[in-house]
Amino acid sequence: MSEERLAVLEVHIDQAGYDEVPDIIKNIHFEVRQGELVGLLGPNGAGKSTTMKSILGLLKDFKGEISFMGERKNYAYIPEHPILYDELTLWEHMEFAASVYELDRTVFLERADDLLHRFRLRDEKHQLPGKFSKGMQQKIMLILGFLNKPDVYIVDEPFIGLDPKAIKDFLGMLDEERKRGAGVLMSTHVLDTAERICSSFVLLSGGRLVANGTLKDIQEQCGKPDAPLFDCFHSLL
Amino acid sequence: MKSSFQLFTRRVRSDLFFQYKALRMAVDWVIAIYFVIPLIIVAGYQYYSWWVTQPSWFSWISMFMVGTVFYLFTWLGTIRYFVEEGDQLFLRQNQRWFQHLMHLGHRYSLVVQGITTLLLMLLFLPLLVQTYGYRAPQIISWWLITYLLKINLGLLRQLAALRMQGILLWLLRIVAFAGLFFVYQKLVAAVSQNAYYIWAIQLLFLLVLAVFLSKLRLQEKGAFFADIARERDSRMRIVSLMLIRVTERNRRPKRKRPFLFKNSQRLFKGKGAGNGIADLLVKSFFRNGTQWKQTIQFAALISAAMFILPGALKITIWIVAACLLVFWRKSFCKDELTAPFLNLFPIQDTAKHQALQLATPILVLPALMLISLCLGISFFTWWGPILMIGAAIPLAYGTSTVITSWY
Repeated sequence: MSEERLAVLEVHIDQAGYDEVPDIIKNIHFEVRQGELVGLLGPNGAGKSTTMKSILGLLKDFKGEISFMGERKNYAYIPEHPILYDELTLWEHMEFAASVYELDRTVFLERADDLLHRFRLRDEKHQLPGKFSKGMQQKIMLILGFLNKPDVYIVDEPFIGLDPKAIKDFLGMLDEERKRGAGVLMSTHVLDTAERICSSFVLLSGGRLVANGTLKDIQEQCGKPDAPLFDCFHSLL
Repeated sequence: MKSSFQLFTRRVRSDLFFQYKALRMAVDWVIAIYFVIPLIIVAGYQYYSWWVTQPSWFSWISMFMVGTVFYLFTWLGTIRYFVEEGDQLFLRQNQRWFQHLMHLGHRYSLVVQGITTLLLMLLFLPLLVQTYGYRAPQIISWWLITYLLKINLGLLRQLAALRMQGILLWLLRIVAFAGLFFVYQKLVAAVSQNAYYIWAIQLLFLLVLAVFLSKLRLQEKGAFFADIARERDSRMRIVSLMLIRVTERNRRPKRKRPFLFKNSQRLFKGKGAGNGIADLLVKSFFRNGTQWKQTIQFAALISAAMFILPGALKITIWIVAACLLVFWRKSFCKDELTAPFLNLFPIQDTAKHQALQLATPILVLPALMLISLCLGISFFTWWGPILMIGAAIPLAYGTSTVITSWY
């Protein structure tokens, strides 16, 4: 079914890295289609963050091509660690995002109210987030990401710091967005959750692509039909 | 580590090495050879020549001015305890070592403060001896008064910061700064006279107070994290001078809700990234305590100058002050525009430039209005303040337009 859908993100990384090691990751090619949730998996140092940074255009030493192919050719990035602006209130963060995305005022107010309600942050909307807990700060990052309803979500380790209810809300919203046609690329270490929610996987190790495809493809590749992702992960690395 | 004394000496050595490395960052060998060393030689010769022949401009320097410099000096520096964040893991469990470390740090700071005060005294010595005819007892007395006041102020500032926060602490500091200024000038005036018994009483009082405050401070409970923060600031003082923008970024408002624009009011109603960024810049500036403090200091200094300078020079300084304020605000805005939060969004440079042009005159206006008001009052006419406040607006927008025309 996913083959019929259009790709919203095409990643062709020939080589990327930093000044000292310009080829930390090499030959990584995959795509994210409409409605797909692709899990970017790998052990520490596998190159997940470098891949993310390459996609976001943050690396100087990059060879390859990243194409956002959706209707609006835009994306939302939800970082692993909350990045906030200390002097702005939660609501001002949202206003700022809306102004940068040039959202219609009515649409913004409607979405903002809905998101604050979903993430139970209505009462805190005029507070400075510097004093919020890590989980609450992470919720702001999710809210800012969902505000624009982009073609692609790039999500880095979303489960760290979130309480179970917030994780459920987050996954529910991701589902809704996928139904709308958005694609999601999600880097994570939480393999059991990834197995349950991701439609396909990109497995990295040592800066190289080890496996790419659905769980069935990966099971076949490691020769362990019906094995959980956890087992496949360990046998492929 | 065999003793708390060894631990202390190791931390002092590490701090001195860190400060040396920080200085080396700023002054490499080329700058040292071609600039710093010649400067020291010239300054040394100049100082020697002051002893040989008294320069004529010495007579322009009043005792009030010297007293003011010494008073400002008493507010600089701090008492350090050389505690570190990691101490909460092990060292704090050994109260004997921890207390000893703090006591040693305290004593070390007292010695350092004494030496720096002495150096300042030596700098002014040719003036005091040759122009004002000070004798050794007067100089020693002045040094001791300044030194003891500096210690007392350092301790009082720490004790006050542990007991109050925010605007209350800020107000207390302003009142103390202004009040003690006049007290100090009186003390200095007393030194000029040969009233030995007054010197003795002053010194005794300051000494007893310093001993009492030191005991109080060293026995203070719950000061650990404040001590760590102060220690970090002290350690980073040279680095932060060089990397002021980098360290400035590391600030966390202590309030839950902002003091200004409490309900997240929009300041720029138009659509687009430029308006959103301008909103961010204006709020960021007016919610930043450091910017307020520096702006008040700047405005107070220039405003005071308005009452001293002759007419034509006042207008020149007024225009120069406007330009300086614009450069300052522009630099602040450009720094804010590099905040990591903004990197989450695809923002074009044109939007950033637009925001800079929108925000700068608004950030300039409050300080410029105050300076203009003082300039107007200094004309001693009823229309002076009205005219100058009115003129502040086109000046703010005019200078901002020119200086922010490039990004």
